[in-house]
Amino acid sequence: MTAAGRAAAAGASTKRDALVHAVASSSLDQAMARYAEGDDRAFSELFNVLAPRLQNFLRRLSGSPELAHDLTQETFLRMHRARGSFVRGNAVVPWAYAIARNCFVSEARSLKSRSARKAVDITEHEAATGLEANAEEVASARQRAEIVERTLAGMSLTNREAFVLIRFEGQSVAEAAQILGASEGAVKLRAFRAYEVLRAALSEAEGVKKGEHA
Amino acid sequence: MSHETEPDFAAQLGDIPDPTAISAGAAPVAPSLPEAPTRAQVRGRRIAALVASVAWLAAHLAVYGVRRDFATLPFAYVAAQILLPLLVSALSLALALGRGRLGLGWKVGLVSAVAVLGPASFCVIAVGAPVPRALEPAASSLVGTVLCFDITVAWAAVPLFAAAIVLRGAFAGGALWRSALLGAAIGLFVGATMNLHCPNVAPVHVLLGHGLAVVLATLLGAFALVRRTRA
Repeated sequence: MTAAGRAAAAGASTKRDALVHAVASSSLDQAMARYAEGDDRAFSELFNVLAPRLQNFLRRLSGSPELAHDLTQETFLRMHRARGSFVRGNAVVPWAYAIARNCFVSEARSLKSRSARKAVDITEHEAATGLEANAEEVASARQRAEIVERTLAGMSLTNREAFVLIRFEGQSVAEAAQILGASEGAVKLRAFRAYEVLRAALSEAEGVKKGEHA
Repeated sequence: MSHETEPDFAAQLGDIPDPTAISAGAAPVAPSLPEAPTRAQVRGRRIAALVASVAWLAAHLAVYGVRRDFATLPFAYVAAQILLPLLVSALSLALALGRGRLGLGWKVGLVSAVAVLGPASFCVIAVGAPVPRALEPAASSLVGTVLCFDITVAWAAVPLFAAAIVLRGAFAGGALWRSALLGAAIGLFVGATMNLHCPNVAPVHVLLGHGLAVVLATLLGAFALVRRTRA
């Protein structure tokens, strides 16, 4: 598939995901409203839907599955402590993303976290892959994913978080700006900068691959 | 960079593959949850803190008294030195605690602008407002200025402390600027109260004795209060 084809397919996928998220968000908002009023049973409903999304978000930010796992727990603890501040009628998803992002920023600032941060375990990718494709396509997809993960880890946090929220988490520019506490223009610029760096890294890798085949 | 609509912008980034798409991490585990206040409890505590803070300042103003020259001051001076800071303080408090469009507060540009311009306007008016009468010889004394600064800071300490207690984890987004704005709201209210009490009209005194505490409260909001208010 060409780059333009991939972009179109990914764009359609993003729109579809956004629609699904919008429908699910309404019942989630109601669950959060009940939880904020003291209905502890609503927590499991929130956790079941939000935890996988937040863990993936934190994984994309941190590049570490273990750290993302720990930070997801921390995020829900903070959400629990702050539940009384959640105002009825607000959307829970951007609120939860903002808290998850705060958790990651706190962690990233601590020296302990930086020294303990581990590189992504490539063997885990191999064990967990469930794609029914031929070996070459799987290897290529894995290689591209690794390049993206490595490049994301190497860029500034401000560019990384803006890109991850808009590209992978289905947040609009306005939502990402609110979550990150920045202007919409700044967030758009940061995401675009991250995109350019990622695009260059992927193009370079594809160039090297073609050179090897030649 | 072109100005696409939002969906187009998201689609433009769409050819970057998801690094987590080909792997499944460990399933998230729910943490054990301690006691946490509900919305009704939080609301009650915040109202109590607001009432206690206003009562704290009102009690001090009642004890120390309203300035003795109040009746002789031109309305423009009263409006600029007392009414305007009170108005900006109320606006700042509403903006800092406001939910905004997505529940994460108002836009950071607006919040940061008010957080900077509110205290700045207090200081500019302190220096720039026409002095309503001739200055007494001791009007700009260092001792008097330090005394006023100390009292203003002490007045601001209780509302700041109360905010730190009742606004724990209140700001998920834009916590730094919203906390600064909260500090500014407290500082401006206290500064206006001090302007209502202190009869010294020397610009240097009003700037350093009253205005510096407003700036300090804003900085405390941004760099200390934020540690408690960030969710």
